[in-house]
Amino acid sequence: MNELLPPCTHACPVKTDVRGYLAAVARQDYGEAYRLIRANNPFPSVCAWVCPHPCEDHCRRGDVDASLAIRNLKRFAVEKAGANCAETPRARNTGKNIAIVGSGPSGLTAAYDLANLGHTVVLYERNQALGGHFLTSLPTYRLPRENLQKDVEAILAAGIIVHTGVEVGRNITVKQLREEYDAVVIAVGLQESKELPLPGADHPDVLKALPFMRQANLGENPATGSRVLVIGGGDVAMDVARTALRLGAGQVTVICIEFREVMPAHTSEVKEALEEGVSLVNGYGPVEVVVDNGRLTGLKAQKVKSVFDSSGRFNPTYEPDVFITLPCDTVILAVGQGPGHEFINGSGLEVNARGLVIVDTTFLNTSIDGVFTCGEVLTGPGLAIAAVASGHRAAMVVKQYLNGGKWVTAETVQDTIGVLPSAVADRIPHHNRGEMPVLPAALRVQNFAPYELGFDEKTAIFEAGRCLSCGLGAQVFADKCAGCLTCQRVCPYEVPLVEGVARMPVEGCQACGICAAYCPAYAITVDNLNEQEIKAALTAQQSNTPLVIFTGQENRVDVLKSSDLMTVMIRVPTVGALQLEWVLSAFENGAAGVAVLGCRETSSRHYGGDGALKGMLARAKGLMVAIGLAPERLYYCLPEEDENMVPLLENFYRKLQLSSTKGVEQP
Amino acid sequence: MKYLSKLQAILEDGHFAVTTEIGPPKHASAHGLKRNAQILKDFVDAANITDNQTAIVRLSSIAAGVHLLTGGLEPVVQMTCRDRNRIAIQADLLGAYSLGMRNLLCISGDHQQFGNHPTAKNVYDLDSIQLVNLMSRMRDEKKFFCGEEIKEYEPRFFIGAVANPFADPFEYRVDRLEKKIKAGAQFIQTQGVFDMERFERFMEMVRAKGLDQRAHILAGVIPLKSWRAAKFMQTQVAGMIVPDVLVDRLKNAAAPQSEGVAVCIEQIKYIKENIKGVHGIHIMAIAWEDIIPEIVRQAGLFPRPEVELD
Amino acid sequence: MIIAQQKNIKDIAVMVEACEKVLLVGCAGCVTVCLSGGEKETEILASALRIMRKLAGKPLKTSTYIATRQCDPEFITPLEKLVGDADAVISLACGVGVQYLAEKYPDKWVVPAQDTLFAGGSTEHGRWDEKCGLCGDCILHRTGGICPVIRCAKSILNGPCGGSQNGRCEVDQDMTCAWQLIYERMKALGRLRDLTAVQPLKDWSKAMGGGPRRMLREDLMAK
Repeated sequence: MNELLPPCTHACPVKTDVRGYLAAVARQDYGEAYRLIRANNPFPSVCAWVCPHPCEDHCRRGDVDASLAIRNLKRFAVEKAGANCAETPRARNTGKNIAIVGSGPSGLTAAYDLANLGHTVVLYERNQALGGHFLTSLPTYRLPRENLQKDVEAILAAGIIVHTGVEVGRNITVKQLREEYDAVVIAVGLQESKELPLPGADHPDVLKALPFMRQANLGENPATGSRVLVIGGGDVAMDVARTALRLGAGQVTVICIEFREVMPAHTSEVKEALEEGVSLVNGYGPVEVVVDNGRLTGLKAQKVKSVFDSSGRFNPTYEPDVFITLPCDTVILAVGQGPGHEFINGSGLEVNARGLVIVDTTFLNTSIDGVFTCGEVLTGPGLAIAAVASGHRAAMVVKQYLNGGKWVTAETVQDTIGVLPSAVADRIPHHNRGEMPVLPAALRVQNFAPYELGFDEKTAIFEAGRCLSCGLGAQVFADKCAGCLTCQRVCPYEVPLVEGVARMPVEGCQACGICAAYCPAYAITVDNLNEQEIKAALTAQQSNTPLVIFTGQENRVDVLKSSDLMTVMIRVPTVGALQLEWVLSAFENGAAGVAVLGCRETSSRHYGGDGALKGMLARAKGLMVAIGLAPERLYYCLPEEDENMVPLLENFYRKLQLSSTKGVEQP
Repeated sequence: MKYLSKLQAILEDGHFAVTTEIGPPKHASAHGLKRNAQILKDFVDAANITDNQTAIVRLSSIAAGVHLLTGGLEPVVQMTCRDRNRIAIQADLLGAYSLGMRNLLCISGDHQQFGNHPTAKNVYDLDSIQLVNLMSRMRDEKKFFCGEEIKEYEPRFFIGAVANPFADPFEYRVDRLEKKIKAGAQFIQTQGVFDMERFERFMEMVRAKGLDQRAHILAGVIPLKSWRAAKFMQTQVAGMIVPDVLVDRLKNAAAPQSEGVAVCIEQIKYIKENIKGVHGIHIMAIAWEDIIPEIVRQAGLFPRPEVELD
Repeated sequence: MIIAQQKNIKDIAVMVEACEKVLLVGCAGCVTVCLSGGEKETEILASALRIMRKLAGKPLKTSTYIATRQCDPEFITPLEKLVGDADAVISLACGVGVQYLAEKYPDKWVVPAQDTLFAGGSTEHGRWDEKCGLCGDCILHRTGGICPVIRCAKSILNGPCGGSQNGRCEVDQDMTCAWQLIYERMKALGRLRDLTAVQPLKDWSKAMGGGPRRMLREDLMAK
């Protein structure tokens, strides 16, 4: 069986280790968070702003209270990490040359991967700058261009040669490229806005989304009338509408066939557009652009009865004789994109009846040996991050091709962790999703400045701590398990099943570590809790008499930076996972004292950890008395929300020093 | 001999019997026992001698019985199952009979946890019903517990057992009493009665099964010296029910001791006159034996009848 | 299973006072399940003893081993070398395991870390109750599946005694009267009549008192 992926990673086209970087954010290891974010994605900064985050849509925390704010955390981590990230080491030069056509997410990704593999990569871009849709189509209030700049620079640092202002199919043909290079990758994307065959649609005041956005983004301020009507229900329609508002249109209306609940645009995009004053007309299909005396005056639309047919296909039906006419001066079509055909000119590529290049969707090869495609030109319209994934695959395919090896196999389908059982969801403490501070809508529409202000550190750490660490739960060594039922009895979520030996259903396990702490046979490990690391930290205490601190993961670990205390800090998912052996080991290896920072009910990721801890501490103290260790050396405190723990711990440490000089240690 | 003991004679002749209970001393002198015999012999028909009651070590029941007998008071030897296995029990009872003991009360015994040797190992080789059963068989079939024949001089005890109408499960108490009678119990002494209503219900069930015709039932009464004693019985002694009104009555009394005596007398009179099937009274005056003559006298049970054993 | 409870560590420490190196042998059987002598407890005890001896200025070396069961000779054979290196062996098994080790290693000082309590089971996390007196002569079919031999403080076979009140035993208010349970269960099963028979004396020769008992399956032993 394949390793089960957490749903966030599973939903992500490039399989980003989301829980990994969220955990790194929670422990304030931003460099590691950035490393994980960039591991499969050369556009960390861009995605931090604009990724439509399918991960969040699949986040199982959504079944508890609200899904994690993953993209916002990514932005926080990326901004915190800055450029502090080691570059990917590059392989030795292979002597092979590869041409990439197009510098959108898929083209740049393929270029980056192939350059890192040691190939010489030459990029052809018809625009004067790189980035594809990132550059020309996304509004700058959603993606400030310095973020694109940053990612592109890092990609180019892999040693990619760039030819801008060269349009393949016009200035040079694919055929020529193929003759010159060992392989060609076509990543031209979908450049054409689709048109609607409506009466009046050929009026000059009927604009198309992509050229409109491109002009706006290049500072050409496309002219519109004061009343703008946008046709379309996707994210692009929202971008167009909001851009038109910012360009000064007095009244912007979006009309779309779909009803509000099933609009393809992301809910938050629609919500923000409405906040900014965009009007929305759902459930009407355009019939005619009304032109009066050569002047565009409105759009006639018909009421929709149903959008999809019984088999779920897009196949709208209309109410006969129910029409409205929306007055407007400009109509902008945002009803989808299609490929341009320019690049096919003179290429010799085989095309199908609709004029599209014939491509094997698994192996990405075209009719010409050594010419491959990737990105939206291959897959059709999709998420930018899917284009990145496509770029990775193209690089892999090309690598194999150049090695003369066989084609790579089809991508294996990996399974994800099942639905969070509701009985478990009910037992998880609820915490609100971290809210992204935004500028008020009235301010937003005045210019193209970004309006999402970013998380502060406290919000980010707490938000990252809400992650359920799906799939990082308990594992049982069946040959050690005595089937004693302890795990089943101590689990706050009632997850373990004992049928002969214990089994920890991955759907339910919350990775709190309590079962492992109580297993009498050491038959349980928890992936989220590295025992070997903990033991190593305890046995390698640097100073002679440090303070060993065990803390629930929700307590901030940087609190002690301001103190001179010699400390060994060990974070656990909940203090209920704390083991008596670790406390003893701390003392045996020279700790002056052991402090346990408990878990507040208000912020703990798990219920009940503190309760489980109390029994263990009582036993530990009893044992300490019996073996001649002053029980005062074990200190428990439950910090208040935001309480500064430094004075508490310093005070404890001072007391320890006093008592050790008095020699109370002697039994 | 028609009767095995004077107590049996009193009961079988249809008299309302009076028995009492004497706790042997926690030392090795008989002077107290002799004094008690002197005080009590004319007022009671027989006296139980407890067997290390509440698991506190005392002079042995059988030895104390010899002292009472010498003093003119018929003893009822108590034998618990706590301290002796079946070998020791038989040996001691053979000895007891040889020393003139004629009445035997078989009980399980208080658990050692309450006594002064709580870390002792208990025996409980057999239980009280088995003891009743096997001592009856020893008398009637001349057999040791193991079944081996006793060739001659088998002990012939008048055998009794106890019943506690105040323990649970209440509805099973009468069944268990029947079991004891079936096992061979000829007389039954009950736990001290304070909750008269429950005792009456118990006796109703006893009569319904005709058990009062098959064994002599003696109701236990306990004269109380103070409300504290009542409270102690109410809260600290397992298998007792003491109504609050009784505690309050003693609490409010000007002279609690005489009030306690008065209560006891009322109880005896009530039982004797109103509850059918009760054939006698068993007065347990714990460490207050001196009061018994007064109680017997005022309850109208004095003088005691003279009986012939033959 | 056998329920055992660890002795006070001070008492264990005294038993190995003169030793410089001890081997602690846990057991993956009953004592793991009753949380007193499995791998976890073995490591805790080893660590605690080391700390204790370090504080006393007489450091102790420890090694640990977990036997699948200490009550079978085959499972305690593999630790021969570890035993040889140690001055003493501390067994965290029940009394059976301690004796197997002592018998297997006649030259070695073998001491118990546990008090072996009873045959019973758990009712909730952290609580174990005695259920069987190992009397060798089961009568549960006569008492509704509830054992008066061990669950009645007086082992009464014709109970309940007069100390049973509100379903509790006179010995301890936290203890359920076994005979109350028997009565209720027999009543529920419509078998109260079964309780009217006077139960005969029990054959205690099958229980302890006749020296160590032995079970032989000659069919299995036939060579």
